[in-house]
Amino acid sequence: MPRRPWRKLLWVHQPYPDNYVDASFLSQLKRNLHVQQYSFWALSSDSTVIISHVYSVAIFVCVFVAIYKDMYNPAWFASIGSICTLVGYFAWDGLGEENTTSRTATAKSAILIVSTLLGLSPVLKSLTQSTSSDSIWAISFWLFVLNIFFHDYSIGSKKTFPPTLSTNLAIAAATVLASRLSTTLSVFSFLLFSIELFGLFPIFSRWLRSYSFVAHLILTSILAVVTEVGMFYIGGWWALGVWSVAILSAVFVAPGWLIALQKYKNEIQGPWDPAKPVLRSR
Amino acid sequence: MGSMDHDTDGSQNKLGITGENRRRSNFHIHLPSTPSITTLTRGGTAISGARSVPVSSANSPTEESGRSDYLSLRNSQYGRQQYLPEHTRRDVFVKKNIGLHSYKVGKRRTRVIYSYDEIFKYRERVRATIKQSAAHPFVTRVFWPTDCVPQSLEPSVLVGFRNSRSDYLVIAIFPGIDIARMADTLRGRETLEQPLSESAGLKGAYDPSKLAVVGTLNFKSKHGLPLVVEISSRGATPRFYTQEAPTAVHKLNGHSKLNGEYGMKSRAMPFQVIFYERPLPRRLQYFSFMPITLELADRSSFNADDEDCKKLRSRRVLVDQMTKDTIFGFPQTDEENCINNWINEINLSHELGTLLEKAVSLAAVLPSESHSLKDRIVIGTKLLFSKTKNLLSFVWSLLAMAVMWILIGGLMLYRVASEAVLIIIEWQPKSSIPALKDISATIQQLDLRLQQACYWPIQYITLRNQKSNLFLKTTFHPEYIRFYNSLWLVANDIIIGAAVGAYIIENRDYIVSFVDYCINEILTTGLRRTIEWLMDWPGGLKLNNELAAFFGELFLWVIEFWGGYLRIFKPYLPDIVYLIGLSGFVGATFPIALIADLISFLTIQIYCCYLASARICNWQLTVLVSLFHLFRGKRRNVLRNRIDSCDYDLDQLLIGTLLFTLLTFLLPTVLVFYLTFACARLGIIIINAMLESCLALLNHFPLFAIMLRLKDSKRLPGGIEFDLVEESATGEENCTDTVYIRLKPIALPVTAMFQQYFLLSKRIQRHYLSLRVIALLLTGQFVPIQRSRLYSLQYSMLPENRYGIWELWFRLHLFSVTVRAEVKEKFALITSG
Repeated sequence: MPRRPWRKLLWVHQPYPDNYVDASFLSQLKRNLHVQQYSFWALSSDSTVIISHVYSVAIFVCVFVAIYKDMYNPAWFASIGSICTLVGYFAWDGLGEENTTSRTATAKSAILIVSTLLGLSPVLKSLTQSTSSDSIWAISFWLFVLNIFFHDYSIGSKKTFPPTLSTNLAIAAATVLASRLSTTLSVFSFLLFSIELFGLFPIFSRWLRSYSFVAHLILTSILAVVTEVGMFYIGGWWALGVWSVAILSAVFVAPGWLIALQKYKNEIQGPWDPAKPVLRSR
Repeated sequence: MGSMDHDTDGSQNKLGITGENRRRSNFHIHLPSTPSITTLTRGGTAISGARSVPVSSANSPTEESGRSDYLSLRNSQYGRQQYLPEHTRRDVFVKKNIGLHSYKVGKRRTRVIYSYDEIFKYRERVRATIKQSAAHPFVTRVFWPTDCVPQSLEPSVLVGFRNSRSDYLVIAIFPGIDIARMADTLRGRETLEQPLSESAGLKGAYDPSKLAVVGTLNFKSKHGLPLVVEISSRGATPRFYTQEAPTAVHKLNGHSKLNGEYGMKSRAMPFQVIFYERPLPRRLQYFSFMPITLELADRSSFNADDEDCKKLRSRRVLVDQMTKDTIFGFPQTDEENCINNWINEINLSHELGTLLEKAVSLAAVLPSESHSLKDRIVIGTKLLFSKTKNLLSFVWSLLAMAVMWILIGGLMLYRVASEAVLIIIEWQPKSSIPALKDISATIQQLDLRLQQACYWPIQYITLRNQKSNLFLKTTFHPEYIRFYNSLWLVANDIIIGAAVGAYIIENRDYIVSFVDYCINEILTTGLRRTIEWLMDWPGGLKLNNELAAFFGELFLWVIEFWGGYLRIFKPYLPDIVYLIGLSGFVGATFPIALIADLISFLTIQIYCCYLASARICNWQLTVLVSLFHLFRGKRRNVLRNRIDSCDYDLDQLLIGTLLFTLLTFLLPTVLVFYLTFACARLGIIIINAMLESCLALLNHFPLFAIMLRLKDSKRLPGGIEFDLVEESATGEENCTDTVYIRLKPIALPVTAMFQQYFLLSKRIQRHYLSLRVIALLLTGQFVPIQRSRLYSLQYSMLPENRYGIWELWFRLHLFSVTVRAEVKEKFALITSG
């Protein structure tokens, strides 16, 4: 006697054992429906967004080493940074459409920050005198790693920028590093430079990215050149070589690797409701 | 629900029903969510009981309405019915073989939970059983005094209270007396100037209509009295018979068969005999249902607003409702009235007995028709005796009155002076500023003593007024204990104080040098060394040099500043020590309090440093917490008491992060300084706390109560206990219808005497040994030390508001009037004689 065909209905009594699996069970399964194929060049140009942030961290470290080793006058860096900031501000102010804060308010907060820095610099200078340098290097290293991880790399203008946590991490790292410096002037200049680099520059570069991607690429190449020069001056040929290899692999090797890994992608979709864990937070 | 949680491993048939137990059980009771009833029982109890519902009126039209107050008690060991008074119902309402859930709680206790259904089912079953075997629907209850059974076992008359037709309380046994004469004496016809119930101490104490001749002991002839008791030999168990007409039983069964004619010995009714020993009022013994409270009623649970007390009280109310009204539907008052009535009568029994005996003996020798020479001599000497006694007491009271007037004047003067001192001590210019007595232990002690001294005259007058009244004696006994306890404690205090004072004065030089050493070495040099150590990376901790130097110099300056004052103070040290020694003669509490104050005074600089560092530390921690929120991009929402996310401006972020880093690195330095001073402060507090617990012991130890407990535990009643006498112990085989129960007073447990100490230690534990306090201490917040709460123990023997000057004057005046009246009375007695 031919059996009635199996139906995928739990509530119907059917002449099949409980663990019976029909051949049609997974007939409606669909795989990799929404997977899009990446293009190599798009990936590598997108990676420049991350690279540019890494560049700014690297520039910062170079500047610190330069000041720490008394290689250059710290005021130099502060003035270069300030000039660049002013230029960037005027470019942003002239070309940008949505300016929520007025210029006086910006000037006011700038003066406030600078005066606070001036006041705190002597305290900061002696803050970690009794702590050993190794622990300071370790703390700042981890703070920078976290900063790079928590940074907001998305494209498009959002109101909540700069991202709070990554900025704070970077400033904390800068403060810790600044407390190792010997003179009040160097502490002040270094902190001013770091605030410009980590507080203001991300806003500018993000705006520039959304304004024109070519301009972003140009800015990234300028940063790259500056970093290479800095690396060469700080660490010589050897540091320059290692750095270049790392950056090149990030821009060219990593996207290729990602595309090569695409064949292992296995995304399952079907007519069932995939259960999603609901994480309720208060 | 009653509990039987005491003496659980003792005899099998012991039923404790003290109020104390009932109360205590409420602490343990577990309240399930569904309405059900809980009780505590001991394992293996082989008795069960329920209220025996009156056999329905259709069956027994003659039945009295008030006769339902006993309990059917089935002893499954013997397989027959026994009867117990209804008041044991609650405790006996514990059944081992009806369906119930029981589980072990401890080693000795089983907790039993009934549900509604089970109880109703069970009650139905009991009702049915009673209907079926209505052989013994009634029981005659007799309270039998074991201490006044005549040794000779000659025929005697029993006098007692007749509370209902079947409820007798024998108070005295008079051998060799005629029934009619005894009845006459009771009525006070010839012998007493006034009826017994109107005499001085007994007015209103009992219902005179209940007092009657209730029966006979070993009488051979017939008579119309209901009770017949026989004791065959000395020490044998008395056997009880009744002569009441056995009406209800037989009519109930549909027969009007009488068991012989009226007046014959009949065993139709079962007996429930409760043996008791009469408490001696002269020795201030008495029975009490509720345990005696040693503290004042309005102080009994410390402060009414105390949260745990409130919880306890509400729970008690809940349990009371559940166990009494809702489930059983029994009115609580009847039973308690019943048992209180018995206890009252038992307490009166000895006094009534002696009065009656006096009356009987007087009646025996009173000159009636026949004057024999012997009688006259006896009467004459008795009269002469009483006359001289009257005269002597008159002279004595005259003297006492004179002394009293002087004392009253002195007391009033003293009261006014102490009121002035008390007003100064307790003056608070603002509610935020502590009064003088809250600052200093010495002044607190002074305040306590003054208040005690203000209360004593009033206590004494109250006691003296109640002395003659037997009825009120039991209620005023706690007052008596309190009064003499505090007097004794003060006397002890002075005795110990004299010794301590003498010791201090003798060893003055040594003490002075020791204090000097402490000031020099510990308070100045030691502190300075500690701070210098802190400034120089203590224990390898890498503190911030600049901040540590700043703190160190600040605190060093404070210490130096106070050290200068201490140097000025130092030359007066011998005089101060001498003063402390002298104060010992007022009581040992004063030197102790003075030492505590001296320690507080000498360590003010530590307190200041502690305050400053705690403030800084707390401020820094608060700032750090809010900056940490900023660091994460969060913010504390005070309105909703939660953490919200927040978009900060760039300048806020930058400055906040800078400060956060800065403060984080400075925190260890601040913490180290704070913890050092906190530890020093803690040490001082511990020393002061030890001294103050000494004060508490000296001021409040229940010495008198403990002495009473050792000397005569019946003076400190802690409840009563019904003890089923074993069948074999009675030695009676055929007397199966009689149940023998022994009524015993329970002495107040020692834990109850020290209950206040337990409460206090619990409170101290909760306030000072909790995680909260540790958290407060670590975060540099103020740990409040509520001195007034710690001292509530000491004031627990005093009324909340002290009696005013006018109140005292009024009472003293009243007192003097009564004394004068007494003297006049005595004078009248002499002149009339």
